[in-house]
Amino acid sequence: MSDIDPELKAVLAERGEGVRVGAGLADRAIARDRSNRHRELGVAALGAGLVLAVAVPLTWSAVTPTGSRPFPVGPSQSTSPPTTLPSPSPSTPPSTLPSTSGRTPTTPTNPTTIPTLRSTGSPSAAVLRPSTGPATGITDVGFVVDGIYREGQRQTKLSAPFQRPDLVAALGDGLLITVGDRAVVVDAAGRTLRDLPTLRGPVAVTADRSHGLVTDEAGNLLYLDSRGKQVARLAATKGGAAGWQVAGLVGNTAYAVNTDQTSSVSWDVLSTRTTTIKGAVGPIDAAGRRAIVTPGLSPGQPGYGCQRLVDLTSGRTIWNLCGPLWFTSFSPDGSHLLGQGFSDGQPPELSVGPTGKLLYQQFVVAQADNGRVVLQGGGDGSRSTGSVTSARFGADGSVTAQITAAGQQRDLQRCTIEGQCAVVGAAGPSWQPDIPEAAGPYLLAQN
Amino acid sequence: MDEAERRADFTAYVEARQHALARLAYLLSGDRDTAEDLLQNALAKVYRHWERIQAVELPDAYVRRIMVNENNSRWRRMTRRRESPASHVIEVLDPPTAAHLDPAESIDLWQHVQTLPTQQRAAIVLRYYEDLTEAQTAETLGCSVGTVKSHTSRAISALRTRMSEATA
Repeated sequence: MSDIDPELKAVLAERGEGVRVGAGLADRAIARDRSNRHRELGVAALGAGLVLAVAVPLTWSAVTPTGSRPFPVGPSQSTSPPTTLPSPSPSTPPSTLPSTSGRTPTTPTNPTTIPTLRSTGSPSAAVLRPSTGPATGITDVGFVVDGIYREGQRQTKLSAPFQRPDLVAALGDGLLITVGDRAVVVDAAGRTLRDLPTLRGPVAVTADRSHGLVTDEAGNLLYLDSRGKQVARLAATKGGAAGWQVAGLVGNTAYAVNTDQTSSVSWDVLSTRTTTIKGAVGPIDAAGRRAIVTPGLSPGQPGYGCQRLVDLTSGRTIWNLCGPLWFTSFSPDGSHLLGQGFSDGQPPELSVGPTGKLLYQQFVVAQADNGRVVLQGGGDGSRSTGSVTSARFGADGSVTAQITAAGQQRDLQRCTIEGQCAVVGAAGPSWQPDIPEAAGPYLLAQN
Repeated sequence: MDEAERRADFTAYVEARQHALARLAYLLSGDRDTAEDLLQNALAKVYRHWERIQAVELPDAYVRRIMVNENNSRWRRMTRRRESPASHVIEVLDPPTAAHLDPAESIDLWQHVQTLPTQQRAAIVLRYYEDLTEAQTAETLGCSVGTVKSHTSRAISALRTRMSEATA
């Protein structure tokens, strides 16, 4: 032991002695876990398939084709030939991914160039301008506040155990709700129709709300009817070590990601045919025509930090975008993407510009056709006011967002793509006002 | 274990260990806000996996690993939550100086500890405050025993040099 060792031990002990802990640490940790779950539910579909900048020396103003690439589809698990539905309706998605039925991936018959885009933060997007004060507008996005689910004129009072849910999705005339380890489907009056097994991760519901897709704790993919009854199941064993993670549901075609994020599955529930897709699929637009696909790459691998917009009907890649953008949903008409402008936990050098500023703010909306960010907001997400804690597209393409307001409260605002906002739900404290990281007071529905 | 049992079990653990864990968080970070963030994030993750952790692993070891990893993340420090003073659950008081320490030297040494590279500081906190073995420290830091030796040696050397310079 060196001469400095005893003194160092004494100083560390002395400094440690000065640390005191107040009451409620466990409650705050539980609240933070709950808050983390909410955030993860919003973005889990891409999981570890993070989108971070890589050195592709192109800018928005210099979008350059980089050559053709096949849509990487792995071997189908079906022995029957793939079915292509030529005119998919919103409730009947295309069984589109060009299944290879054991063949190696091939180049599409009509190869096209794939623009590789680098998101540089330029040109500057419109910035969200949150409003203040009492509610002056309305939203068609469903949400829970004060134990009541509200969607337009509809109101469903939730029974006591479900008044502060972790997740709510509109299913049939009722709701799919999870709280802790419990998951239920309730009717329009809030009465429990069915207890579901413990669920994990995100859920998906068809555009007509007739069916739902969930993952049970074991990782099995469960396809539910509008009352929560299990109609079909895809075993977890096909989804990697920890099973599946829900990515989307379009008609009777379910999409899920293998938990290692390197591949996904398209599961035709009616025919039971499954098709393996290389990379993590999701989000998927409501018509089932286009999807974001992120390659399951590790840092340092070529292509890490990029994601592709893929035309599901043809398998064609529309663009390959490299940058710190992380998309979580399409607008109902498929024209825009909602997402995040950086990913917590990633190396800052991949998300900040030369001046040390983040390339994008916390919340972004981008045009689907070209990946260009048209709206951003929320700063770096740590502001005392103006941070966006959750957001969803409404039917008209506006965005309804829960935003931090003065006094550690949060309100609900409906914002146009141009960034103009109106309060649609008054500011209120979180569910546990003494705990800043606690959820609420608004929980936006998943659909 | 149902939700109520899980919560009660976890709360009992936190109440029993919160002072020790908060001290570790503060010594690792040297900053009250960061310590609070590290500790709460770590405990949130422990709560998420409570059944597994309390069944097969020592919760303290798990919390230590998470706090060290998160403290090493520059990004975490860039984007950590900023909370109002009223929300703090950790308070840091001026400590009484140990009888055998010169107050000025004690302050100097603590300041020098805080200037050490993150991994070196973590190594000496784990070795000299937590009294972990080199192997345990290596496991916590996710590195080899040789790297722990190297971190510790360099940290001690740097502290000795800086204290000598201060004295001179």
